[in-house]
Amino acid sequence: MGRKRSAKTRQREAERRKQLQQHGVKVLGMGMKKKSGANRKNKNARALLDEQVLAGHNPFATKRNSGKSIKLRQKTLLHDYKSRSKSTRFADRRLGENDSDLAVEDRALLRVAKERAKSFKGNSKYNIDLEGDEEGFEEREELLPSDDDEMFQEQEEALTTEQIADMARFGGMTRRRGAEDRVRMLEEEMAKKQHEMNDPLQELKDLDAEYGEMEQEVVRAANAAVKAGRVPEERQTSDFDQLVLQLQMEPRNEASNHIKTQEERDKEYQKKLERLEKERIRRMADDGTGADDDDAGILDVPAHHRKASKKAKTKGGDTKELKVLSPEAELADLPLPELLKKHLLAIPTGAGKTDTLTRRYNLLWTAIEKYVSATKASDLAPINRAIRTLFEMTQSIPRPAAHWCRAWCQSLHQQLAAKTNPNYPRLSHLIVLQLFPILFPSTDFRHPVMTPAFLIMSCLLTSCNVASLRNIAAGLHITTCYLEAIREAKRFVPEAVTFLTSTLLLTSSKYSRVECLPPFQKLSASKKAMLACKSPPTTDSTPKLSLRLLQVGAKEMEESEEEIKQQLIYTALRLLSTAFSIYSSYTAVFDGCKHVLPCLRDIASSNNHPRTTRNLSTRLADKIEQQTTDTRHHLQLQAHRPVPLPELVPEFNEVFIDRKGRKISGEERDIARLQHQYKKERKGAIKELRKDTKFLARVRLEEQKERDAERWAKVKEVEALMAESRHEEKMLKRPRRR
Amino acid sequence: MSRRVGDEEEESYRPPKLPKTLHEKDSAKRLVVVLEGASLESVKVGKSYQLLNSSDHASIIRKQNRDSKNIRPDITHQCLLMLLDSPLNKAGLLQVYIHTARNVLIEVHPQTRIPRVFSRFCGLMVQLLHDLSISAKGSPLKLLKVIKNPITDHLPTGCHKICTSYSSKKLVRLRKFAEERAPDKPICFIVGAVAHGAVEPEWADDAVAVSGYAMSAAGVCAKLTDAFEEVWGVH
Repeated sequence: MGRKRSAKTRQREAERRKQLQQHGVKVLGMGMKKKSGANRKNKNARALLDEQVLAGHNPFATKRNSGKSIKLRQKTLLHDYKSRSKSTRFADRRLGENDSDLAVEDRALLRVAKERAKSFKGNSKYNIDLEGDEEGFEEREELLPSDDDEMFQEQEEALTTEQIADMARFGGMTRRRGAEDRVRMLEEEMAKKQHEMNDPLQELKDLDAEYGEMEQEVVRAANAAVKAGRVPEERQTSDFDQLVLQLQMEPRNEASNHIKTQEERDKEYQKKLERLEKERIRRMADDGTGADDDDAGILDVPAHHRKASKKAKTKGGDTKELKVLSPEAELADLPLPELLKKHLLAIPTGAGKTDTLTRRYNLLWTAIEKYVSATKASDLAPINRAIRTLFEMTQSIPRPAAHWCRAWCQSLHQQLAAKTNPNYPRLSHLIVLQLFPILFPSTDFRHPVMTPAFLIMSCLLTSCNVASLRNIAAGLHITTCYLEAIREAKRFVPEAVTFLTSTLLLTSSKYSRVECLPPFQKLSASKKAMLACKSPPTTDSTPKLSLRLLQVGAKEMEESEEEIKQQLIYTALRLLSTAFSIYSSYTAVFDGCKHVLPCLRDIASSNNHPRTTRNLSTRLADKIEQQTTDTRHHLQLQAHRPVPLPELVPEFNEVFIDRKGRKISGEERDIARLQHQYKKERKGAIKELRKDTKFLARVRLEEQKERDAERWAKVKEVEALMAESRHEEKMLKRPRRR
Repeated sequence: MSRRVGDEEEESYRPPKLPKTLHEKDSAKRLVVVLEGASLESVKVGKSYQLLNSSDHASIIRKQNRDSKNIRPDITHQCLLMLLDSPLNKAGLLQVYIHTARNVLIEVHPQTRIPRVFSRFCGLMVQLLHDLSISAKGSPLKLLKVIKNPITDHLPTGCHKICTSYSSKKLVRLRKFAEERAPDKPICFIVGAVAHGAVEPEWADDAVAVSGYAMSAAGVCAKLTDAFEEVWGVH
């Protein structure tokens, strides 16, 4: 209750009590009756309180701020606040005064220089004043002792120029004559510099000369020593040492000062022009391809051999060359084996390389075709040999070679397109088609030669007449080439697979499927079973199909028709097996071949086929069955498993000890103490900052109040002045009473 | 807002989302299991605290004159393992609460990995009972939390609260029951985590028997999760 009262009331009360006491009235304290005698302690306390009151101390007064912190803030924070926009720091702006790197003397010098600059009034500051109106120095000289001039003179005589210069640089330490001395010295210095600039290499030359002399001296001394036998001879036997010595003693030529005359230069220029002209003529003869004829021509011959052969050519004359390189006219009539004996890749100098090679390339192809037609493919060894030459030529002239091959494909295509039901082309054409995949990369997705070649092969397989055994054999040959070419790339060729399956279906007329497939749909009803074997085979093995079959006539065929049929069926089965191995990863291929399954089973069970054919047929049928009956997984929309909620491991101690009761180590205790201290300090700091802000706010408010009061006073003053003047005005205006 | 093509595909590569807002908790299909009457008590042995256990603390139980058959924290452990390892929980469709015999209510986060070893489970529970929460390792997420009673404040609003009891006359086939009662809304089952006897809290709406035979608590939990997995298509 007492705490809520104000200090004044409390004081008043205390005074009243005092008065009452003086009057002998017993006071029970704060005017409240307390009858219970239980609170004896309180009685004592009350007595103490009364005593305190009587002593003039008011125990109920709320504890006020002692002002200690305010005083402290007035000293520090207020000071900072008031001087926050002041900048009274003294900046020493004298030159170099703040540079700690300078020595004391240097600093003094700089100061002097600055002073001089300040007091300088002359017209040009680059002139050295000979008159010597250097007030500054004069003043200093006066400070120096003037009565021992003679001593100074004596000293000066003894001093060297350097010393004088040193002294001169220290200005002020010399006498009046100093300026003249300085000028003289400067002149000397400048003259020296000039001399040095005139001949900058003089020093180097001097040094060289000196070194040469020294060297000679040393060698002479060494020779003398050897002669005298002071040095053992062995030392000189070392090759290296000897070489070094020789080199040392070798006379050296200086670079001559001879400059080529105008005539000489003209001569050289003329030679150069002549050389260039020769080269140009040679290039013209090469038909524009001579730029790279140095590194072309002979592919396999190494560089040094080539050089040697060139030399031989130039020295030996033309007769030698003609032996190796015959002109195209001669070559054109040669048969293939003879042609291959010539070195087709060797080109005579002077002739256009590319053109020559292109002509020879065409020649070679023609020769191959001729050879195949003539020999009816009885001996293919020369063609095998020709492949190497063809390949090398294709590599050395890729563009013309590709051009020729494309043109060949185009002409064949035109021939095919011209006929309604064309036969398969001649064997020579088929051989050429077989060679293309060997010469060019067949794995390219698109290739200038291979793409047309593949197209023409597909075209042949789908459009050519298959009514004869020869044509079926030709189709199988093309299928062989095709499968060989796509073996690496595994490109799917439906034409090839269709041709093979359709061929197999020709073994019996009961397979109606054959009707709907492109080349076989044109077959007449009688030909539907043209491969049907009517009699059992003579042997159990089947010979391979020979290329000769493609050249023989229909009459010859009739003689061994059964045998040829067996061969064709066996070849078709083998090719189908090859296709299956190539397309083993393409499951749809087996589904596409499912319709030949009954046919294959029939072949396998028939007695009219040799055992090898039947075995192969069984294997193929099994393979198709296995591949088509295997369970396949459907494509799934949701290929992955559902993602579960991630598991989180709880963090706990296996043995729980209550934190309050547990003993902690010294280190942990220290950490805890520090943390506690930090917390406390942080709190205190925040509190202090808050107090600072409060203090500053109060200061600002007071300032504001002061300013307002001041302004208000001024306003009042002005108003009063105005009122007075108005009053006077009124008084003046009021008419005077009479 | 337009949905990007392939959003659904992307979503299927993410773990399921747990319901966060009150609306989600009240409306999304969810199975809430309350393990009622679990005996989880900590006792001071020497300087350390341990989970009261009928096999390790026989003398203490004898001193307190209690029946050791009723003090079976291992049943709670088995139930928790069964529930939290179920595919239903992995799909984020399960919520577990534990109500102990001493009236302590514990909320179990679906992502909690319950220790497989019983001794470790005891350590976990003791720390939980003292600290009132257990957070995940390296994460501020609270996996186990002691929450305020009554349990009904935490259950989804208006969900069926069904007590499982062998003594109930109503025998149901759980799968069919689930189909009827909770095709796509939350439902609460009360399973007694006790050795024998029945728990019959007064806040339960219904009491059913899930089998004609008496079953263990863990068995009932397995049956529950299995039934709801079938109904909600979690495989």
